[in-house]
Amino acid sequence: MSKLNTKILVVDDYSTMRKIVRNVLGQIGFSNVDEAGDGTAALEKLKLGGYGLVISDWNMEPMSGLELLKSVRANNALKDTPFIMVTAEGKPENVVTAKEAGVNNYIVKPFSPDVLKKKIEAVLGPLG
Amino acid sequence: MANRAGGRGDVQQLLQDKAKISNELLRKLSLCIQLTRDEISALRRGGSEEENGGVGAAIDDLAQVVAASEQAALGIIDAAERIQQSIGALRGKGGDEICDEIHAEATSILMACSFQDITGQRTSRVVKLLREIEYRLAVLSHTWELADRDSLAPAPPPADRRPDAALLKGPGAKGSLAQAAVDEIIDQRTPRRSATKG
Repeated sequence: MSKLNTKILVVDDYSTMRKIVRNVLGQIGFSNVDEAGDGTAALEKLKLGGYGLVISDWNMEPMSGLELLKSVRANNALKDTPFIMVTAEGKPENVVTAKEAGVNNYIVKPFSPDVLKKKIEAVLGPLG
Repeated sequence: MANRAGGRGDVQQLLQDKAKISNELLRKLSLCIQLTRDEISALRRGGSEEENGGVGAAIDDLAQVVAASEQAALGIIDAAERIQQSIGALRGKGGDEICDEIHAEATSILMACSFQDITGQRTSRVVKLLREIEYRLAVLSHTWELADRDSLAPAPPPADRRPDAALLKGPGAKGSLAQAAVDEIIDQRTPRRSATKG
């Protein structure tokens, strides 16, 4: 199965960011993209299964991206789901905390389409 | 006798001086209290005779700025996406290079709309601060009895109960890293995959 068929969940509380990420994913070649507005809604969707990558913001309420990441890693059925954090939180302690919680890659906002593609390839492997 | 009379006169003079100083201090204290009350009232009103509605109205204004900028950004993104779709229909009919250029520019317009997320987060921080100020002013008003005597003590703004709240400093926080420095931290903490034997 092509990596481009991966079902991706984009999580961000700003609809503008969800739309931007979805557009860039479409340009890369991903068409199976779903959205959630915060960690709680994302976790509900993830539990339904089928997602091969999560691209999530951090600063969301009520459940933040870090809490979502921890919940995913603590869930046996979801723990291996690749997870990329896309956030404006760029302090070293943020990056280290996210990595220790099991994030696969970390993108600082604002980002370019090229950076998003490279990080997805770093996590999923070459897209072909 | 003369000395005793003189001593009594000194004591009286001293008491009069003390009373004068006390009165002056009380007058100044009263003035300070009045000024403080006036300043608190002015801050709560909004600080001007035109009455811009005070801190509460400023919070509402900022919320409207966030909502309006989100709507504007979504409109721009939609337009950029329509340009991208139109470009798709033009491909293969000559001028593919120009199509590529226009598509790239439409993508730049779209990516620039991420400003709304960044400014929205910064505005939210200002709103939180204003809520805190509004609460402190309400407490002061209550203390100085500027508010209705029967009104309840003001409720504090809701606390951020997220476990990672202390880590969330927002965009452009002092010490924020560029992507290359973030990549270094991630690389240092990512175990190398063992090379496969070919």
